[in-house]
Amino acid sequence: MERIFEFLFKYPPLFFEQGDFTFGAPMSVRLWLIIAGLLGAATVASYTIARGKSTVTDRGVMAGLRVLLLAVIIVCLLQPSLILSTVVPQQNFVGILIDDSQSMLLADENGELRNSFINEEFASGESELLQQLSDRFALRFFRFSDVAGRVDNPSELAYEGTHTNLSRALDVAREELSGVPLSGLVMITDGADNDNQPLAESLVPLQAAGIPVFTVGLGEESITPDIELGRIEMPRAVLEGSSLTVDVVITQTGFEGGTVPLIVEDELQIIAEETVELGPDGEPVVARIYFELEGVGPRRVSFRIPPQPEERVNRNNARSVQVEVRGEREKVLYFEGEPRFEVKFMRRAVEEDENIQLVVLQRTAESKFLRLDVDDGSELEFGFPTSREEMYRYRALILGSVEASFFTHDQLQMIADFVSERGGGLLLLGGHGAFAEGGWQGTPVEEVMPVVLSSPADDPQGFFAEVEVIPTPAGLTHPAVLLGVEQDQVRERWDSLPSVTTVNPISQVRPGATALLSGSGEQLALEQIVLAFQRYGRGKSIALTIQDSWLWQMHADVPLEDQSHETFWKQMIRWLVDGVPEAVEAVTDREQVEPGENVQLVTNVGDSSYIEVNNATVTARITSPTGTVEELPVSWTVQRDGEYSVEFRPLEQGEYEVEVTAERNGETLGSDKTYLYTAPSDDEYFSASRRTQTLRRIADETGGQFYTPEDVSSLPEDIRVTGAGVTLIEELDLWDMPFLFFLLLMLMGAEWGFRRIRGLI
Amino acid sequence: MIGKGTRLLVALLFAGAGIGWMASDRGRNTIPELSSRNLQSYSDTNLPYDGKYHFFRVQYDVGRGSSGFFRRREPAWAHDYPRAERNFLNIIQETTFVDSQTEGSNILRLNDPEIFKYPIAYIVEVGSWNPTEEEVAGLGAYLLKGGFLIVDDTRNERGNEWANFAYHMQRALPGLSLTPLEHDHRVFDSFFQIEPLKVIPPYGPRNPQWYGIFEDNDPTQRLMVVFNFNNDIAEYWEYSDQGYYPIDLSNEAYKLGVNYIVYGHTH
Repeated sequence: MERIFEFLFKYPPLFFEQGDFTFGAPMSVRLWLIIAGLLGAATVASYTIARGKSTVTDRGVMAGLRVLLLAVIIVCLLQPSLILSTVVPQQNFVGILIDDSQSMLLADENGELRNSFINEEFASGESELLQQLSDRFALRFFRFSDVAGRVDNPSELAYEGTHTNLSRALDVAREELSGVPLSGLVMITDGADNDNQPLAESLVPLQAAGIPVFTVGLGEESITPDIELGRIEMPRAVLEGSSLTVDVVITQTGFEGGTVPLIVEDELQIIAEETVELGPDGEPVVARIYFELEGVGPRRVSFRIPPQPEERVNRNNARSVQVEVRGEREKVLYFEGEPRFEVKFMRRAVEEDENIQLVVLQRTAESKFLRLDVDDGSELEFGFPTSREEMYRYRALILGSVEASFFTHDQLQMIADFVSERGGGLLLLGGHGAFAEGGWQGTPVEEVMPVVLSSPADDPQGFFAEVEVIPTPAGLTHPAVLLGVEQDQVRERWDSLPSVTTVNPISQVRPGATALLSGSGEQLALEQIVLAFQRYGRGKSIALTIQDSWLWQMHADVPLEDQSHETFWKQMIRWLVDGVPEAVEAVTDREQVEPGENVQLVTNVGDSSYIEVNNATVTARITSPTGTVEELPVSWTVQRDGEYSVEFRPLEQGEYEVEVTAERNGETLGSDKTYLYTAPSDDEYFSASRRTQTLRRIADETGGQFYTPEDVSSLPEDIRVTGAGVTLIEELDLWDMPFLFFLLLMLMGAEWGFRRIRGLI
Repeated sequence: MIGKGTRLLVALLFAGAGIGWMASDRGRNTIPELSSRNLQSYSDTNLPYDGKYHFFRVQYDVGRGSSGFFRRREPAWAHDYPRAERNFLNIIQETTFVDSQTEGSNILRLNDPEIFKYPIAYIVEVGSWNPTEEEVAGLGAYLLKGGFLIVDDTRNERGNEWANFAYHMQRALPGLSLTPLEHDHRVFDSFFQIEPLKVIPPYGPRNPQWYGIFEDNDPTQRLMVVFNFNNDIAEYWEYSDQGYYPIDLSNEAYKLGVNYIVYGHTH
């Protein structure tokens, strides 16, 4: 298309985009217009005066064609031309940035490697493209992957980079060439940036400096057939023995509608396997897989899909995730306002779980409490905690049937803050003293609840309804609701459980909350929300609106060996404490890096009331895989209260242990441990298809052009007319464009043809 | 755990509760007085499950050769019924926050699936208890799932009642045996702090003993069955409002009963 344009209009479209249009005739345009007007009037008059067989319409058409023809001639006589600013040969520089990452060694469908274009056009002295560029510009070559730097000759490239960072490459080239007249940058890459650094920050300085970037996209836009494991949603720390639900995004082309096995391995031992049904080509599917991790400590959990027949890239079929299996006993406070069987059966359900300490504060009578599973005689000595320090020792709080008026306003506010500030889990159980029936409306805790409280029932006997519980669509995939069975059997398992009862009619969740279990029954006018949750501040709140989940254990219809009730409560409480932060918490910005890469260690420091501390002394003790210990001070970032950070560079390959300790005035505030894995990365094989859109954006936003190897031949000339640097003004004639000649012929031919048709010849 | 003042308060409370019931609440209780004529209609008086604590008394047949009947010709399982539970439920209601059903109690056989809705059971006179295979299976499942059985009014002077109970419990819970209950066991401290030896049998000095059956025969684990041997606390409950027994003794019997109920709700 561009060639046809160039043939008709003498110059490529880019010239018209860049140039300014002007007329070169010596007389003024106004004079020419007067002449044209006179000629046109004379033409029209001659056709009007002429008599013969022609009608008025015939004469009008012919006069019009003739006027147009005269207009074209006048335009040619006006000597139209383009004024272009072009760079002065050999006085300007062009930076050529070549992708040096592993993905350049991927083969296209025809078996040709991506880097073959680079080898042919830039590493070979016989390349016409390189010759043309060299004739016009002084060339400077750069290599880039995760780092960027000058290279004398592209033939030196080894294509061993394990990441691609386009932003960094542009920054380095711009800075290195800042002292010379630069016509532009040429970036040769597949565009598969996997460092996720914002491009805009690198494009703005280029725009400001008027430096165009010409991008050359290598590789195919779609690698077919191929399967790729995408994002894996998995927590970085879990409690030992917890059931994990992990979402794995799988993308594929060429295997539409097929099935593949997804295998999960813990230290080379298969711990889960799931058959995944693939969707339409190019559309990612989310596979949900369930498993448990045994044994305390850091683990590498691998997810993989075995290579499929004829698959083009196999190294994007597996991913590993670093996870810490924690063995602590998580303390959960269950405050129950009246002795009821929920206490007994919940305690029994989790008593064998070594990772959960369910501390029960049972109000048995007015101002009389029974304490169960406390650490010592002083714990909860005066009943429900009255200070944040006392309450925040627990990672989760369960409130049973206890009316809001039991608490002081400060305690109610503290419960709300426990969720929003401390990040704890709050579970609210149904009962006479719970929700609206317990007078919780208008309290600070109401805001935290994931359900909407209605007015309590007018009936003095109170509301009572049997509820048949079923999982909602969201609940069908939630670990707390799975009851330890395969996903396709969850609904069946819930159907087999007996009805329970509620005294709290609740039929609405708050905006943003999710219902996991719902219920129906003859005494219920509306569908009952049985289990719902929401995130609230740093923590989460859960409402379980029934009063006797113990029937799932005790009821005659439930076989003795059935573990539904135990599993339900075990998972509920583990979910409740999952992700609850510590007062001192350390995390690295990435869980896996390559040896030599920088890692940012961020530590949030709070005191026992979880109030951010800015004057702490924070030390990171980093132990390398070979046992070398390095101690680093971690400094307050100033930007955020309680946030400390330090950068370090692990050089060895393997597992690093990072232990952070925070002290203030000689008193230890807390410590935390995190792990980091260092190994060569396979990132270059993920999402490795050509990112045309990214490359076009770079070109468009800087005033450059996007090319493929097929149309890159015009690159030298394009840089010449669009580039910056030392330029000169060129005037290009347009009056002799073939288009104008063809237009004249067409207009003459049209009049002649019209006359023939109308029989006027 | 509680001081003298509290004890006095409790005693007054018990007495007041009994008198109060006699004065004003007598007609409200729907548990019918027991008579030989309407034995078959007992289960008709059971109140449906409503999420509250229901007093559940085990109904059973007696063994061959044992009449099981005495005084007022009532069956053995119904001894002290209904006055005992009626008084006891009022006490529970007045002294604790247990949300209990005071309008009536439940009488169920151990082969009735309904028993699983009431995780605390009460059985008396187990010296003549002769459960069927179905009842034994029901009791076994009930206790293993989490039920708690209170056994009362059993003494060897009327025959080897201990052995009869132990035999049938072996049928229900094979491998689990009756174990003497330490006097500092949590059940004696779940609401009131009780010195077990102060719970004197209503029949005079009889060497009261407490036995329990624990999960896995491990006294540190859950107490599934508590056995008041050589004692009869419901006897006190039955007559607490009639002045047959000293208030102090009735108090101790109530306190033990309250502890059992609180323990059964929490352990």
